[in-house]
Amino acid sequence: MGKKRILIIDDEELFTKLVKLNLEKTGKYEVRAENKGAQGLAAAREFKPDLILLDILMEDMEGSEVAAQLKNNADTVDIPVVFLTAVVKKEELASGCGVIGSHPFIAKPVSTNELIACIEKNMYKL
Amino acid sequence: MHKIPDIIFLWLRNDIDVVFFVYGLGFAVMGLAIWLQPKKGSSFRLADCLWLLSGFGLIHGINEWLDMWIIIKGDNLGLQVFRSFALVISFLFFFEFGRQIFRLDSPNPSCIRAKISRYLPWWLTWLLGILVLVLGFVSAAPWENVNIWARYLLCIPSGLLAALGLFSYYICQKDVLRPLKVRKYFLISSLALLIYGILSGLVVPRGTPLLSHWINIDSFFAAAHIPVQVFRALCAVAGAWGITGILSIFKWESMERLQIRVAERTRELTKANELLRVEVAERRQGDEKLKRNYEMQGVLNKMLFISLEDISLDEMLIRFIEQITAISWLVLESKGSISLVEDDPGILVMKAQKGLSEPVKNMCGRVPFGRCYCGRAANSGEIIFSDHLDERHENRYEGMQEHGHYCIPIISVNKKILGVLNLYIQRGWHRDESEKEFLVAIANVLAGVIERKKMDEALKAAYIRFQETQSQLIQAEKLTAVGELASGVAHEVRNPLGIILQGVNYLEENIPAKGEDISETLGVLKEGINRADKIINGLLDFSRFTKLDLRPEQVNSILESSLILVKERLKTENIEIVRELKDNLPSVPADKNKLEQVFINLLLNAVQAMPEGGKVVVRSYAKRLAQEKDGVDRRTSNHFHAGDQVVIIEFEDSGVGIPEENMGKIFNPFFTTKGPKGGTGLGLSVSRNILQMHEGLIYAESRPGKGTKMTVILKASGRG
Repeated sequence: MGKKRILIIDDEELFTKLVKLNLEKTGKYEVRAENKGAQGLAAAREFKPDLILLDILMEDMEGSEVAAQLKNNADTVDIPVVFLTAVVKKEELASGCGVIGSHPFIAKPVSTNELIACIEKNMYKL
Repeated sequence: MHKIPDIIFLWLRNDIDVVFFVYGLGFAVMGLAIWLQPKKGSSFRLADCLWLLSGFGLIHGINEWLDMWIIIKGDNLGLQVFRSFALVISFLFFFEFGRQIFRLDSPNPSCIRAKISRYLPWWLTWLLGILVLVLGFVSAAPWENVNIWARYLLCIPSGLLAALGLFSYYICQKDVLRPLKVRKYFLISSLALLIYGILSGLVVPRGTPLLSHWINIDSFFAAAHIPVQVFRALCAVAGAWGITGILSIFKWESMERLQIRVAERTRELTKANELLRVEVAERRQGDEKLKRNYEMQGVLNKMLFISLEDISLDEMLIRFIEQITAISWLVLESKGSISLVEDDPGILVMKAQKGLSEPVKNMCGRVPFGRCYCGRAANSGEIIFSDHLDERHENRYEGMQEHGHYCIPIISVNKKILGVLNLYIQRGWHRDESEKEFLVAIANVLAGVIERKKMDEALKAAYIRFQETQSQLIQAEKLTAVGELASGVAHEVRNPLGIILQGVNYLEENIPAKGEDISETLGVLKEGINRADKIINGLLDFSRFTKLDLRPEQVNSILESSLILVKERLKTENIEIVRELKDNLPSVPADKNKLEQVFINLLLNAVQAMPEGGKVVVRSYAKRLAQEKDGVDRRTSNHFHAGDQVVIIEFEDSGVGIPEENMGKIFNPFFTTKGPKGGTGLGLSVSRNILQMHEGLIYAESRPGKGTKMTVILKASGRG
């Protein structure tokens, strides 16, 4: 079974870099990190990830806007998206991972273990 | 031997002086009797002329006694002259009497008596008197002839006139006199005077004029063998007896008058008595009225005095009704009530009562306008008065006693019906104007006080609302600012925290040979991240208005679950929990999780106040809020009203307490005395926010060094 592709779109460059390192270190994931919304969209079409981690508050583009465009594109419409946010109370999401409305969420700060748990939980949920 | 009549004749002839004595005595007695009989003011006209008969009787009596004197002592000229004058004068009296009585009471001017009366003018007596003297003195024997002429001219007509006059007087006055049974006296005296007139006027001393030489005393004696004086004396005695009898009519009259006067006097006295009684009654009534006025004034004064006291309107109304129903002469059994129009227009709500039974209190607790007496008074704005139970008394109950009512509408200056004063009165009570005025005055005082009180209370409520709104505005503004800040802070802080945590995770995985100190350092880093994150969470909690998930919850079970969550902590800190939880508390509409968060906050605060360990009393009970006075009832939030059913939760610790200067700040965000290692300083403010969203209340009471009591008040589910 090949590695799962994870695309992380977050304007915190250090954060994406460390997440990429930590996830790839497990040997189960191939991670691509993008720090701009637009590049993220392009990467999604090209990289065809199995799951996208998407920050909500980014400098160039709102995460919700990115998500909307993903849904509008036939290539990306089926890719599960897990939002990353710093302004949701952690307690509101079970072990840092939960659902607000119909969207899965991860609250920062999040540990690698929590992140993996959340990815696994949402990966096959379609 | 003489026969008995002979002896009498002899005696009469020889002792004629005795006959004269009796003769004179008869007339004298008659004269005296008439004279002594009080007749003044008599309605009998007879009284006007009787004095003449009296004069005749007395003078003629003297005349006869002079005759007696002459027989005993012998005659002389002086005596003869005196005697003759006495005789003439006495006959003049007799004639005048006859003339006057004859003229009395002639009912019909055409009758004989009236006709004859015309020939009896006043001067006739004088004329005859002069004629007697003239005729006497022109003769040779003047004194003898005066005597004879006086008898002819005066005595005969006198006797006739007197007899006729006297008897006709009786006839005319028959109606009055008959019941007095004096007919015989009139008859006897009339006859006596008539016979006397004849015997004395016709049987004269022997002389020359007219028939005197033919019919005289001597010829009478020669014929009758008895001196004429004997018959005359008998006439005098009979006349005296008759006249004395007639005089009884004056006695009767005076008696009658006395009786009339007594009756009149009695009537007058009765009238005076009646007047006096009326006056006394009026005076008493006046006194009673004065007393009542005084009492009414007193009640008004007391009411005005009470109105100045600083008490609630309800309490004031109770005091008022006590004063009003204490007016014993007006209010039956001290029963009455005051009802006011409150939030529901058209409904009278009983606010104060005195002496009313439970059924009445229930029945008249809420009365719509137009129903029963009170409703009618409110509807019409007029005083409703009833002196008995009539068909208008629609609120009735079993065993209701007969009574009347006064229902006085309480009307404001701008003609608004504020309520009704209802008083019980006796059946058959008579109202009067002054009591009506008094009741209107009472209603006016009530109206003034109620309006003022309502205005005061409205002002107070408006002020409290204003204060609350202001503090809520300030709070909301603060929260908005804090919310924005919190979101910003969360974003700005959590992103680096996320990087750090990922970095730590990376290091944990990638440092091949981890020394003890490295692992420890990484652990401390993670703990630091957690703490920072916790602060951000608290900040977000505080700033965010999360929608509550309200369900009817049992406070005790939330308390128990909160206690379970902090059980370990309590154990390690050596804290004893004392439960004083009341069973069967009403449920409260609450968000279980939020309320749990509040209770945990309060428990942890208590734990932190007792670093050496101690005791926390957790108490819960239900209560109905009373007047705004003491303790938990002294509240300003307008979520609560008197009469609300609430559940109260208290956490009382034996900790260090809160210094006085900090009491005002404990609910402020970020206020903490626990230092950097303590809490976030957001616990109490978050708790307060949660409770405010529950329309609840939290406040603290503390005695530094002794401990702190935190009190939470929540409204019970539903009404009551």
